[in-house]
Amino acid sequence: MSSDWTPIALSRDVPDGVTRAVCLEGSELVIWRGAGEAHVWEDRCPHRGMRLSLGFVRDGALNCLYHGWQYGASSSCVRIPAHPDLTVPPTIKANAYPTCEAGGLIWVGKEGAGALPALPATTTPVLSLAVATDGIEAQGLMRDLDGGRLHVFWHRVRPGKVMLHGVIEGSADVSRVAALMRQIRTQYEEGVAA
Amino acid sequence: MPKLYDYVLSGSCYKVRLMTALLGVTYETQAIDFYPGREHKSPAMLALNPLGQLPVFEDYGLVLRDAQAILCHLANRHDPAGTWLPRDQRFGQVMMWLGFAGGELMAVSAARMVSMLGYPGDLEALRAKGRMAMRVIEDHLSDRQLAGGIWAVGDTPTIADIALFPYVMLSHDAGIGHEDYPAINLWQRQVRRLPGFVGMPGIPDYF
Ligand code: FES
Repeated sequence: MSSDWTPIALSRDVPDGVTRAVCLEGSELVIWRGAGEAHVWEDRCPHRGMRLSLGFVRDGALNCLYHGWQYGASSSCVRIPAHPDLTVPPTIKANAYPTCEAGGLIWVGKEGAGALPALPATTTPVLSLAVATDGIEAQGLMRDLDGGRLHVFWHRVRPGKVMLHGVIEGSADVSRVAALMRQIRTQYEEGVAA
Repeated sequence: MPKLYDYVLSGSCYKVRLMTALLGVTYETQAIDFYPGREHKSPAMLALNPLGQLPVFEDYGLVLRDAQAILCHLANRHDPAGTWLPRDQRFGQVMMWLGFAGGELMAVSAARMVSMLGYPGDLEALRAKGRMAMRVIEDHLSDRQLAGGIWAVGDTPTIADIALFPYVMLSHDAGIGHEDYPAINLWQRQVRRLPGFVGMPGIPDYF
């Protein structure tokens, strides 16, 4: 699977108007969704460094909690409330990363990332689950289920911790699959996973 | 008029401030110099609460301690509709989460006191306990969300949500971020959207 793209959340867990903090290889990211579109940025306001994930989404823009600087979908600052008449210079920009959604997941890409890996066309989201372990098998670990298949993707939060993202291809009892994912968590944390 | 002996930075006092705000109960407050004054350990306060803890709440001639007990009292006396403390099969589950909020989850409070106020204590051990408690809440809320719900118990907010909310949010002060907790992230947003919601330092109002 291409390593240009990393899955960092279930699309379901970042509905419109929501911000979500995520940690990827020790870097703090914010995912937010406005006007239906998901964005992944560095979780740091260009003004004074406040975490943007603590801010709020309004009118399709992300507003910093600290002084209310507002960043549009292009990541440029569009409004500074203390200077409402100012045309904000385009150099004031949040640090945005290539973002896409596929297979029920939100992916962040390297600069110039190639095509996404092949994914099941339609999926049912299960859980994102933090697990205290250094890493698991290759992306796209699978478990066959009655009537479907669980795909477990993951990203590394920092050394010693990963976040699993489970989606079902086909049909299955989601609450039972959630329990299965928590069993997988226990297996990894107790060091007994194959 | 009811009276709250209050410390603004206390998550436990905030449980009472939030519940009274949501119920529209007016009350007076007496600010207690918890830090650095240790006024909660003064003879006058020990006479009200021999445990030397905040909050203390006076209402209907009662002197009540323990945030969870005060939440029950508020729901009992100030919520005629009875939705915040339902008396049906949800009652036991609400009580279970109240016990957890005043028990396991207080590891987050202890970690926060060490981290913010320099109280003595093993910060890493307290954080580990706090993370265990947060995981229990995350697992529960993610199951609720998979079943189409959002609140801790049943289809409406209860005092269980109000008891859990403050220290889940204040975990940031203890160095426990919310990166591991997508279900908590969606739930906390709904709590902050409740009509009458008030925040506290470290817990922003909803915009
Ligand atoms: S730090 Fe974000 S607006 Fe000032």
